[in-house]
Amino acid sequence: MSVKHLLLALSATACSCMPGYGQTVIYPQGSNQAIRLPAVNEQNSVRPAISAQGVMLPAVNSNGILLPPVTENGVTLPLVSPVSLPSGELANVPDIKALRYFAQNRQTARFEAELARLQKMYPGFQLPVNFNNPDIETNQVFWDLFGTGEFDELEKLLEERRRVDPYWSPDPELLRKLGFAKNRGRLFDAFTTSDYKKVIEIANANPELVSNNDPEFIWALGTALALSGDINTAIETFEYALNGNDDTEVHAVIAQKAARYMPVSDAAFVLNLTGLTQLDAASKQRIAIGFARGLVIRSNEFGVDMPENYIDQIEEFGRYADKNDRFKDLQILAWAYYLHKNYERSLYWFSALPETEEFAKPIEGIILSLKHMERFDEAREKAEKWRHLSPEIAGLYLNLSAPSLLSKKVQKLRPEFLSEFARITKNLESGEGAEALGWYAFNVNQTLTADAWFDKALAWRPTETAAFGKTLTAAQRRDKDAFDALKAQYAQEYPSIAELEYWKTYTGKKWSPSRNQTLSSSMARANDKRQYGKCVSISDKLIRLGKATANDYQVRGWCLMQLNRPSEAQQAFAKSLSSSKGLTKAVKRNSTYGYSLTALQNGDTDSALQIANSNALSAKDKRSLKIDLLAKRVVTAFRNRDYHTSIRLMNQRRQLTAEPRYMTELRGWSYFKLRKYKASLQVFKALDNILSTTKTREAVRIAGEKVHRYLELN
Amino acid sequence: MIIDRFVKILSRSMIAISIFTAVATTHAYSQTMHQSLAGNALWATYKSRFVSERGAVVDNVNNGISHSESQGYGMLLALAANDKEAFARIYRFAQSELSRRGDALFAWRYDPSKDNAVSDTNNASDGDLLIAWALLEAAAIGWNQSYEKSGMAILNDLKTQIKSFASLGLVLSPGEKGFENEDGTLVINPSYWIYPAFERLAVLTENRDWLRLSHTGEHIVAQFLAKPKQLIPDWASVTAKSTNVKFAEGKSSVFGYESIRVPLYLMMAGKTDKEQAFEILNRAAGNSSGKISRLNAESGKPEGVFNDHGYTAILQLAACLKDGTPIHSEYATRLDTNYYPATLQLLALATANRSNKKCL
Repeated sequence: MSVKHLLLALSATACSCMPGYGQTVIYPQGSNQAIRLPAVNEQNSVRPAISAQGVMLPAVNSNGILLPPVTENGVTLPLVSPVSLPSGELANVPDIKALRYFAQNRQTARFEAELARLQKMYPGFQLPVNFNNPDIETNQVFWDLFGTGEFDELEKLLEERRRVDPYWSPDPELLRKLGFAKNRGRLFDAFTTSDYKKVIEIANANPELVSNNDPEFIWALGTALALSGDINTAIETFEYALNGNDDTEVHAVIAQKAARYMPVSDAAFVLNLTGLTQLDAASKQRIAIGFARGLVIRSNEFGVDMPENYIDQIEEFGRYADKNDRFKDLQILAWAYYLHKNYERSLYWFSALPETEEFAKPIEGIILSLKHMERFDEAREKAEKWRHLSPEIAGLYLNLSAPSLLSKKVQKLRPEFLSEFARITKNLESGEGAEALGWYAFNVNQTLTADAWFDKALAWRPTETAAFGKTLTAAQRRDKDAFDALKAQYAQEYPSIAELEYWKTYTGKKWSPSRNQTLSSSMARANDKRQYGKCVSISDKLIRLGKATANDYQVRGWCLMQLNRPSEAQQAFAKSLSSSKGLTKAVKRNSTYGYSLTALQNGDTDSALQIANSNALSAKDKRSLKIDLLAKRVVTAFRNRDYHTSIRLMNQRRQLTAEPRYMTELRGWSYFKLRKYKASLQVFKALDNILSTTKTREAVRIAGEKVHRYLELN
Repeated sequence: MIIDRFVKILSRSMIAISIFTAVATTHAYSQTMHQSLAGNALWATYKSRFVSERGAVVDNVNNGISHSESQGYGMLLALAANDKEAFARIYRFAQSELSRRGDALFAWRYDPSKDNAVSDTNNASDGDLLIAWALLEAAAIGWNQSYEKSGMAILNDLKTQIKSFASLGLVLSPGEKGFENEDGTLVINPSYWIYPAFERLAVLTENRDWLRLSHTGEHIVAQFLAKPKQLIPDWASVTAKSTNVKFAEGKSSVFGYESIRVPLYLMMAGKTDKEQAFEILNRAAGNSSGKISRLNAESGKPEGVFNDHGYTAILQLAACLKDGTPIHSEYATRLDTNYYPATLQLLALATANRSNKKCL
């Protein structure tokens, strides 16, 4: 179930978990077990291999099974070894513990006797090569592999080592850490693919992962819980982390996650747990801004409005972003206001961004805000100025200029304006523009031109008014055959056309498009308003009625994508591309783009790549598809340990867009694997400077050690 | 055994652990109401004035009717006064006269002047909550073990009236019928958020969802206080998609007889934000009369004054909790003559008694 679905499902439903008396355990949805967070001082309780008396290596019994470690005073400790090595090769291996004991204690006679016994029992038995010095191990190699995260290779190597020397056993601490790291990795893999149920399952099954010293884990688990609807456990998780961590940055990010993923009242509760009241002004501001940022992101992401009692903090977040040139933050803030119809504030924050070519979207935002504030002249001027910047702005230019073509009192328009309007209309294949031109031509009695533009309008965006214009033009041209044919074609669908009569004189009367709504336009509007569920249900209806055009299938595809239903979306785009109804160049291009994106999301990178390299897309779409594709390929190359390629692809991607944090981490590790330690350290330090986490600190340490060693050796 | 207890705690969910630890360290008066009016002579006066022999808690101003809410208040005050007999009597009346729905909830009104004393079987969730809370408290101190089952049954049947809104949190519907509009808007009553009950129910039922209800309540209060001059209206409305609470269309937007309880409940609970209570009273009693005003919650325009003595006890309590000003003996020794302000007065005195500020 997608997040959005989940939120919808959660809304307005009766809570099913009250009152819970006698149920001492509240389970996260879909799990069989509650997550147990260790108390702050219990973190080390899961490390039983280390006893108070010192550490003993685990032994291997005669069946090759790892035995619990034994302390010097003979106390057997429970074995916590999340990773066990294959044991098949070790069957029937003699137990030489006694032999070693006698050797260490210089009990020669007993040693000889035991050796003889073993040789009798196991003909051909020889003392292992490292018998006299079992502690000389090559553990450092394994730790190095562990440090660089090459877990598969490490496991393979451990297995080989055991095969060569059945008496050797790895450092139990290494095994424990390896198990820990692998489980942690699995949890993050599940988190990355939005498999929140699995995240919770892994956390449940591996309580040792839970640590308030690992903020990234806490964020992932808390987010997964919140998005699964288990708000109580999410609160507990965040509370646990806040209690055990003084880092303001960690508090700020927890506040942000809570605001982004939890109901606002529960998020406010978490915010109050951050110690907001006791901190100095700068820390307070940092946390409050984090919280506000979460609210703003949530507003963009889920279409939820922003709570009025936090507007001061939200504005403060904006001022902070403005002061520090955090353009992305300024944009999400402006869009959040825009989505919730506060056009005055959206205009203010869009205007805080530089009005330059790099900021096409904010400029579009300015125009849209002005339009909604009914400051049409300013909006049109701005759209005219920036109409070359993006198709969206060009479309707005048409939209804002169209009224002059559509006014009932026919205006004399400048030829330069008309030709520019027509040029953009053709470029964008804009149904709206074509219709406006059609009506203008109709009203100045240029019926042939009107007919041609209505044709285009019907091809690019079939609407009732375009069909009406086309039919009316036929009547005006006294072309009865054409009129009858058009009426027959459209009368059933559009009542306004059914009412048209040929013998009536329509000339002299000024016409402009009516506001009649078709199912298609309702669907498109639902999509514009981010009502994706509604959009899909209208498209269902259109498909049932057999009226869905290529464009309708395409809109359906976008809406399904927003609802995180990529395979259905891919089908919808495929349908659009194979549709015989209304598959114009523009529709084809957009559906191809949609198809490629969904293919990518569904793991079909080959199809996506094929499309990206073809000429089926606009330059902009091509670029954005390339960015997504490169990201996928970076991860695959990294997983395949092809670090040269991963860096090459990252560099390619970086030329197209900014690099996200997770990818910069991959960059750091790629350099590391290629033994470019200095470069790797530099990358990790940069990451750590932006936001210091356990992960980045550890990376800096590991890379730092290597740099140090490298310098010493050279 | 300490070890057994430790193992038990570890084996419980973290939620239970949290409640165990967090609530245990809560301010002293988040503990049970029990004994907080013990020995207070005003309870005897209250009983003689408003509690009938059969156990009806009578609203003398409203034609002598009783309601689930008055029965709940009566039970809670009896518990505070350690009056086991009165408690049982009041509960029996609720059971015999208001238990008419076929579930564990109570019809909201009993009107003895009518042939059909219970003409409407709709419930009032605050009345049900008060009764359930009182029953579980009484069971916990060993008055009658069957109270536990009865209290839990009420809470269980109240479940469907607690809605989960992804945008806002958990929201309490005022009753079973008549509050949900077709467009998904839910009309709510901010004074049905009985904060001290939620805190105790979280402990008594080991369920943190009650605390989540508190979170929503405090958010609702914060929303109305966010704009200068605004106050908490008697009725408000919420929708599934919005994080914002609005004034309810077609319902009173007055800070009135309902919402005057909001600051009182905030003060009665242990962990709620007391500043919210003080701010509400500051806005509603900022005049020189020393009394709380009824105001238009949207514009702040006065619509009347809460003249009765009992209401002013709420102001007295606030002054004491805020800066230690003792409650004037007038309010500590003379009970209001009307059921509703007298009830609020006793609740204020019980809270004062439990506070560590030496209010009385």
